[in-house]
Amino acid sequence: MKRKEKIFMSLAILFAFSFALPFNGNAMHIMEGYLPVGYCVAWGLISLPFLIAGYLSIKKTVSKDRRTITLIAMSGAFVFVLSSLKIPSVTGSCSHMTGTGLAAILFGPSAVSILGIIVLIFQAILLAHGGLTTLGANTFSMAIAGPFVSFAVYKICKKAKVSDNISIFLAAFLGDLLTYVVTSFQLALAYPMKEGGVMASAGKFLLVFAPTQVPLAIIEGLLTVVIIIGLRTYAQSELKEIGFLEGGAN
Amino acid sequence: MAHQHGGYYSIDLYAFHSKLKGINPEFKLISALVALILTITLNNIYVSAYAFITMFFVSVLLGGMDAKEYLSMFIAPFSFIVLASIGIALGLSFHESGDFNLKLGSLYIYTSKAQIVMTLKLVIKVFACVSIMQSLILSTMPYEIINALRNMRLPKLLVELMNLIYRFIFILIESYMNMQNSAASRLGYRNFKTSMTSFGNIASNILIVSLKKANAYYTAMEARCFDGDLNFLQDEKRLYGKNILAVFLFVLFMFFIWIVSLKLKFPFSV
Amino acid sequence: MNDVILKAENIHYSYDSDKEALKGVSLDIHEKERLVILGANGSGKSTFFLNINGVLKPESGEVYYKDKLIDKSSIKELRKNVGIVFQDADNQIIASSVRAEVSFGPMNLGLSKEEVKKRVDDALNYMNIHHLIDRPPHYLSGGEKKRVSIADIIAMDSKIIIFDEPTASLDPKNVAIFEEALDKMSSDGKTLVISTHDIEFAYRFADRIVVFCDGNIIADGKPVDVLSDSKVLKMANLKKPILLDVFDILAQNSIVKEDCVPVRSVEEFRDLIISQAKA
Repeated sequence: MKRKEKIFMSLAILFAFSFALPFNGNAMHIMEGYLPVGYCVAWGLISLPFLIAGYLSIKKTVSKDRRTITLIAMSGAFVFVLSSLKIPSVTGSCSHMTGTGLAAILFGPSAVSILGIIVLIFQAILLAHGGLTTLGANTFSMAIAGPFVSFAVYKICKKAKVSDNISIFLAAFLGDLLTYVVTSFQLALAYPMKEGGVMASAGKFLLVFAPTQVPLAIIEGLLTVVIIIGLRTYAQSELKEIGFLEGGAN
Repeated sequence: MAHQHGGYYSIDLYAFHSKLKGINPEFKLISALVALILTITLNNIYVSAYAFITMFFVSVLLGGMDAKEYLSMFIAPFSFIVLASIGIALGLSFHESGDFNLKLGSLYIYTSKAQIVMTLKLVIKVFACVSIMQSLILSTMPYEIINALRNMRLPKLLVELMNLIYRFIFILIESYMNMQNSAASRLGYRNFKTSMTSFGNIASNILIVSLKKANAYYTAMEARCFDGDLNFLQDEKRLYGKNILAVFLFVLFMFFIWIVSLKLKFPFSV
Repeated sequence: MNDVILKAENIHYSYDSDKEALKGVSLDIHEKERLVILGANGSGKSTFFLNINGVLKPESGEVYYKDKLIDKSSIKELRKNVGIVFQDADNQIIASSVRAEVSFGPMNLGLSKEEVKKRVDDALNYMNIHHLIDRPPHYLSGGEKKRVSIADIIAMDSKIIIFDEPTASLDPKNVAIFEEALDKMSSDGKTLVISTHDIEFAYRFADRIVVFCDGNIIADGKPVDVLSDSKVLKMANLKKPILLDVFDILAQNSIVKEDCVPVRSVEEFRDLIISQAKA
């Protein structure tokens, strides 16, 4: 390969990165068209049992007390709004929280799976983030895998008597990180490398998305802590009310 | 740029002004899904280009949307497309491979002509798919899509939640905007640290407001004889033969292009 | 006076154990009357409304609709006939389009689709907002939202319509539109119950005024009588309407005859002054 070509290739890669970074808003939604139909269906099927469990849990809550329906809907709207707000950033890029770590801690992971898929549908039809055919894959990474990990981390930290703020940070941080890891694997499965296969391809995607996603996960963790401190300070009684959702931590 | 909700934009205003909003929403939803599935399955650069151009025609010429605004809608997915394309076009290896490569310590970043072509094909396909989805959401109000899902037998509880969530989203955004303005007027975004605190405090405030409002809404619903089933009257939009014919021709032509490009061995068609 | 349409008897209600919001309120509401309710924030007006609409259940005391005691089986009947237009339209509107929103009440009444459709069209025409039928609520102005929230109740064909501080967030133009709508409803035979802090409006509009204070009713009578009672005004932190004040000054100084009926609008006042000057 000629020197000129090498320079051209490096510049092209740099250029592409610098082009993408300022816009990394909701960058981990797999866009419409990326996944072959088989993968769309498969991820949908994998998500289905979790969604059914979430549906049943919400249905049980609502049939026990019909009043909770506006409360659940408000929680869903809150997650949507939270994920659509521009968060503070050091570099000036425009990015967003996923909000799933916070939601998992507050409302419990099974309810979040349903709220999450509804939020993803609205992100697709109101903001054109993500897509309809990729809904199954995105639901699995953002509404199931991330929240479940956040919730598990939070519970384990609590059991291990880790301080509150650190547990919350770790839960949100790791949940966000896992979402990014799962998405990278989802892409890798659909686009494996000729040599090295899925694992090598996943490594590649992890590397490409790392510059935007790792700092974002840290910020998500910090913000989640700030938000929960705010809630503890101002809204003790309201927090009790959301304990209604089964499995919620508060 | 799209409709602003204070640095926040939503597409439903376009749908409200679209000239295509009179078409039966279930039909639009199903047509969009069929077009998406076909574009993805046929996986042919000419079919993708055809879909992209047709959707431009549908949204801009038939729907009456400003062409510049229409194209600006593709900014949202841009970052993902670029990063994912880098990921797909480039490979990593411990030994020299591909047509082009860069040495990075003991690692080689490489790519090949075939990989670049594949990535380009994929990008065009993604643009086609995004434009199909856009043509649905730029002409259909979200509540119509929700209602279409209801008619397609989505569980009732989910439909109820979606209806309420759609309404509540805008209530919360309004509260957010008021709080943000008031925080900004008190220098709450002076630097990164104050920004973090302001953002966090506003977010927790929104949650508190939303919990309080949830109760007020339920009371207002009960006052209007709500007893457990959330039912609304929906506008019924007729399904016209000419709409079906148009979509049928669009799909037919998709297959036509696909077959012709394969038979005549157009470049990059496989 | 017309027949009593709704009777509340000795209603007690509290949200939590340490403070009673209603301390034995009794009130007769007559058919087709224009009843204005005054009282400070937290005096129990809104709680009372929710009690006579059936959303809240009184701890003790009874509610009668047309002489019929309301119990569990007739509560839906009560909610149907007593409609509340809430203070903040944004806390009332729950649907994602105006059509869906206005249909919510009629749908809950279990009417046929055709009937619901007709009710929605009629209610929107009544409030002159039929052109908004396909709008989502977040693309409505404040005044439009208020009119939608009134159409909500018109569509249910409630006999009594309660307005909880309806003019609180309206600009003068929308207040005028609202008052016109009130006059229309009144002449169509609706019973109107309105809570407000706008004393001038109360004086101009009401057939009868009731004053709430600290969970009790402290005055109930003709507007002139209630608003001239300085003890009541002081207790409820109210001010006498300017027009009534001016009239009293004129009467005390014998510029107008003391036996004149107090004026309730600027037009009446003008006619009075002109006729006095001629005499």
